[in-house]
Amino acid sequence: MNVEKLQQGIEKLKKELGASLLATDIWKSGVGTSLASYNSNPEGAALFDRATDYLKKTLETAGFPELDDYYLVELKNNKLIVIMVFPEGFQWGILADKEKLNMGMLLSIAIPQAKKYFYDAYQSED
Amino acid sequence: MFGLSKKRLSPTQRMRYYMTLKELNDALGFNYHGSVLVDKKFRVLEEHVADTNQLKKDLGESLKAMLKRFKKLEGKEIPVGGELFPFERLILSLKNNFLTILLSEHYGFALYLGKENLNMGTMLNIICPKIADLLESLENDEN
Repeated sequence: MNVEKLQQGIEKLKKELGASLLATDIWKSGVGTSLASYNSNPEGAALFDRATDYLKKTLETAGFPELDDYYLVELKNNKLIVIMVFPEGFQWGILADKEKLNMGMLLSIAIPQAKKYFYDAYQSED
Repeated sequence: MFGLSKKRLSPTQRMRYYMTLKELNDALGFNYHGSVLVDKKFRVLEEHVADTNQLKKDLGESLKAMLKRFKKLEGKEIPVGGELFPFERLILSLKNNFLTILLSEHYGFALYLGKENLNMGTMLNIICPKIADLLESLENDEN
């Protein structure tokens, strides 16, 4: 994993989401410690690492299809969390301010771009 | 089915529920697979599974199980910037489906739907607000 490229992806995300981006972390699933970040939130990364695992197991137990590429958690106080789940064993969490967020920008541009940056970094050596 | 307790909704509340259900069906068409409304103790108040749904025969029970587990997850508070934010809504992008769970103080609603020609924008801007309005009106009746 090329961490520098991951950080470039985060810089791109900052530009795309502007003031709506409050924090972001990329971590390895099952470890929960951040590889690259902006306003890093270690507790949040660790918690959502567990939450993703919990959701996957719950979906499996309940007989639902498996989690695809991401999930959204809307919080009170107009905050939104997006967790992108990569089958390669990584997760990318984004905390955004819904009042300032353009959802179209997030869903149609920022998330696809972030995935592109992730795979670019994943396929590169440090 | 499994512990239906429809008497817990008043006639007005049931009318609101069915109006919302109709709106969801109108908006989603064949993408609508099923939904469950539960009270805060996860007793099923209403459930509705599309007649044509062959994907999951025990969808109601599965949705109920998901709601119950989500409530457990909600109990964990996420520290963000020194503040604690409780969960309010969860939208899962699954293979070929969306699973949406909304919680209010006294109620929970889970909706299972197909993804064909349906994007997350529709989910967030059209579907979720309808459910949120229903939960808010049910909550207003509680107070």
